[in-house]
Amino acid sequence: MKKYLSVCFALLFAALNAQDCNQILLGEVIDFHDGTPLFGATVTVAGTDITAVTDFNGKFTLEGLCNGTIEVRIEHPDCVILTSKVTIEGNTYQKFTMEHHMEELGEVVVTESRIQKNTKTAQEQLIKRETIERYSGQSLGDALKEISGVSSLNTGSTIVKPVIQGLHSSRVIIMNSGVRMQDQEWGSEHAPNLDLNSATSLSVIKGAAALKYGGDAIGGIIIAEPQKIAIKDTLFGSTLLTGATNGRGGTLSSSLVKGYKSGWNWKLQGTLKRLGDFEAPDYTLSNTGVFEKGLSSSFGYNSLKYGFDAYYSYYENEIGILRASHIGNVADLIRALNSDRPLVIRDFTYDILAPKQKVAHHLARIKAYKRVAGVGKWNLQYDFQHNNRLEFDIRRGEDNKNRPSLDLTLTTHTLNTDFVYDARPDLRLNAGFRGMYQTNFPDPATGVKRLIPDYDRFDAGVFMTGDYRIGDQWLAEAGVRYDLTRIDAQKFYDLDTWQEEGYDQKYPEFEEGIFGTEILVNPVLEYHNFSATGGIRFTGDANEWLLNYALASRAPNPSELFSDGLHHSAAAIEIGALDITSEVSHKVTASFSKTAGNLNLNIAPYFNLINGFILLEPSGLEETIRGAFPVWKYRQTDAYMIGIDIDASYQYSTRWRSTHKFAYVYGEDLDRNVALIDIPAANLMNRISFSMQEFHELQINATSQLVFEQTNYPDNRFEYPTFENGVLVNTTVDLSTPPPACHLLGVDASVKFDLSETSAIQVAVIGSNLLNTRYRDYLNRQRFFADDLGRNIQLQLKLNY
Amino acid sequence: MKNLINTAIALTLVLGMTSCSDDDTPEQINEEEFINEVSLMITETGTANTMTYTWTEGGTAPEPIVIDAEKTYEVEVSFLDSTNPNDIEDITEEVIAEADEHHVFFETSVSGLTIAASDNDFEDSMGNKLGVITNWTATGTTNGNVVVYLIHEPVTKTGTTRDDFGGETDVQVPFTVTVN
Repeated sequence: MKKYLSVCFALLFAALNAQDCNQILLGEVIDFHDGTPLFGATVTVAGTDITAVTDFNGKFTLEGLCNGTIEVRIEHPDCVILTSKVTIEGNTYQKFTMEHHMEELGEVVVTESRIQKNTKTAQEQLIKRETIERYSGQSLGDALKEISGVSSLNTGSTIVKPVIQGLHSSRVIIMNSGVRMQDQEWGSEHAPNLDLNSATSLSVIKGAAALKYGGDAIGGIIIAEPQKIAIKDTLFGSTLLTGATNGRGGTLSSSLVKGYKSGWNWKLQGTLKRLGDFEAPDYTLSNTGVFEKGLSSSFGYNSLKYGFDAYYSYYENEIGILRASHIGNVADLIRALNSDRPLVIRDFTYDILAPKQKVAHHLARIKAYKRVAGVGKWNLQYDFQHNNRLEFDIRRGEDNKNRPSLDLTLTTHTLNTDFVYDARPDLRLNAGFRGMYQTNFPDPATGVKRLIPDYDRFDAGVFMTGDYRIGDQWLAEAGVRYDLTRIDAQKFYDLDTWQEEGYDQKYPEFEEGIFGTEILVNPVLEYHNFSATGGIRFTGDANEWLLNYALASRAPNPSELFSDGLHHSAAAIEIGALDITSEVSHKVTASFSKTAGNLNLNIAPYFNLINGFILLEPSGLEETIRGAFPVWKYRQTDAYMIGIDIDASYQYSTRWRSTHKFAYVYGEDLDRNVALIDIPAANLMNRISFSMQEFHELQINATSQLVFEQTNYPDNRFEYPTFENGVLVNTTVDLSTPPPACHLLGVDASVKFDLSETSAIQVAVIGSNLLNTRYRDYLNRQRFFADDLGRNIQLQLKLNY
Repeated sequence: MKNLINTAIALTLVLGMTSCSDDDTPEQINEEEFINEVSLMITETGTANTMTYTWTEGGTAPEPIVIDAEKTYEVEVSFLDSTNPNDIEDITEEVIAEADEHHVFFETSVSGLTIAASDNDFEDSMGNKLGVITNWTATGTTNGNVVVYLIHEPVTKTGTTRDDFGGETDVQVPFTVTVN
């Protein structure tokens, strides 16, 4: 600030000698409420072509002005246009305040122009629209891997679950346009049911610090936000067409947005994706095609004082599962493990046959807000979600050809309300309530015993968070949350199992009646979860320090409680445990970021201690008509995870830039003193970028991705008796040893051509695994059966209008 | 704004009501494709001497199969679902109906025992024998295991070991055999 003032004074003195129409207006545009600078506002002098854009500090310079009164017009994507009269007397300094709460319409997380974080002291990173578009032909999980410390748990290349600092599934909350996704996320083969193309920004909070969204995000929170619409007369859209050589198909995504000055707006977006069998370097990955459809629409009314927004989205996905990964027994699995090629390789086809999954997700939400002058803002939201998951196995019998083996329908109603107090620039408070009712219906028409039983679930949560600025450089943040979860299930247990597990002694009150060899039980389970967070931030001249502690508690999910059946591709029987209690995590994260000249550096270490960590563990063999199967049971232990994420970038010149990312995590089961399973290996990403703005915004990136070998893993190898020529022989089954390190190279390039003043076409070529490297990924469940994807060249056309 | 509040109240009421109406008892499922029993009906050719040996999931191992050397036996395999003793289902019929997608294979460690498809065995649309009815002949005095496999969607229908066939194993059950 001192520096700035002295510049002002210097300019004022200079003005004494200035001539007419050679004056300078030095300005600063800040937010009316909290005084933060607004980047990217366009400032124009009415009646002239003198114009400027504000920089990161909200500052701008207009030159060539005459003394006298001028009219300045300031436009910012998130604000109402501001027109202001300024008297120029020599070189002049003027501060402008804009009503910036327009941006918050829809709990905006991120805009291209201003980064507003969900948490002030936790590790949080985001992906912007350009990056999301590069992944248009892929999935949410693929795009999120751009963030250091985020990896993915795959089943093939189309079922991609995000993993945040080593944790995934129920430990990661996914928010889709303000709605917490309820899409049976407990399953390791259940990818998030949302269309990546419907999001224009993605934010990842690496931990549970954003208590507003839930207290159980032991891994973290992913926030996908759709396009925001400014209050002005506007109509724009874009169409993105991506074609891919691997899979021989493509993706078409299109959106149209209309805003009115009156505050009304609407939006329509749709995506269609169709790909056939993917290819590994040496062979076709048979039955891995995908057919995805997405549609989202919204309409609403926004004003400063109140507004509402109705949103609906539909997502449907049909995904083929690698044919060779469907096996009948452990001997089949051993045969697959011993072969370097998948045991079923067919000619390329677009057909998707069993085994496959088909999911459909409807999401409808309506929200409204009211701003109370001088106090803050009240939000109210109701959402409805309907998720149907069908899984088709290879079955016997004419009636079963098109009959799913699994048919689960999860219906969720949620009511959210919260109040934000933001009247004081140094203090912000947020308190709210969330109530949820959910019902799961496993359709008995499958003719296969239910993997997950019928259940009703009630959740109620209250939270309060706040942050307080102490002086210019310090900020403190704190929050508490309480959640009640009640699960009321109805399940048929095998009578023998019920007794062997000792449930007849422990839970006699759940027993409803005996039907043949089965017993119907009605478990009613309640969990009381407490979560909290606290953190501080120090902002220096070119560096920022963050320190945060988050306490998170997660109630067990239905699969951990009730799982009961054969998991086909794992050739294992998975059994839940009724007596599992909530998992409690204590996570400490720190972050140091520095901007020094052309260098940007961010170092973020963390430590996560999890009491009652729920994991699956081998526990003996069970004899069946298909031979013996390994039984895996859910168990609780204490565990810790420690890791670090590093991001760095350096701008060598206006044209050249390099970006570097590194992530490492180690997890240990403290009861058994062994490493945790499925922890991502250390990985390093290096990217060199070349850009030539003046030549059609040319941009070229070369990316090297190095994934090290995971050397820390639990040894769950087991001896298994198999028949060889009719004689029983013991064979070691190794599903534990991770694959070797691998290095992948990718290059992408894009140029843009203006078609008219308001429309442009962008052409991009994206090449991945260019060297056609043969590799297998430790966190891909199909690594036992086939190599990962070979070379893929995508051509992308984007039309903006 | 009032409308919004009214809507919210209405929604809360709807929520409250739907959450009280779900007390239905789920329907019990009987797995239809389930096989829990494999039986071998062994008939000495030219005679009416028939013995049946049955492997039941969770039951005691069947008695050893005893056959005489230098004689021919016709062996018919059955796959059954006997979880409901009043309604035993014969899954073999389905296997025969879908002969193209199935193959029954016997793997033996009994030296001198030869197992070959019988002339009256069922065939798939390509003329491949299904393996449901087989002829067993043996030489010498010996014993060992015979493992019965029901293979779903085999890669090929010719082979001498289980590995040759690929596909998924629906049944893998051992019987002990003594040749006198």
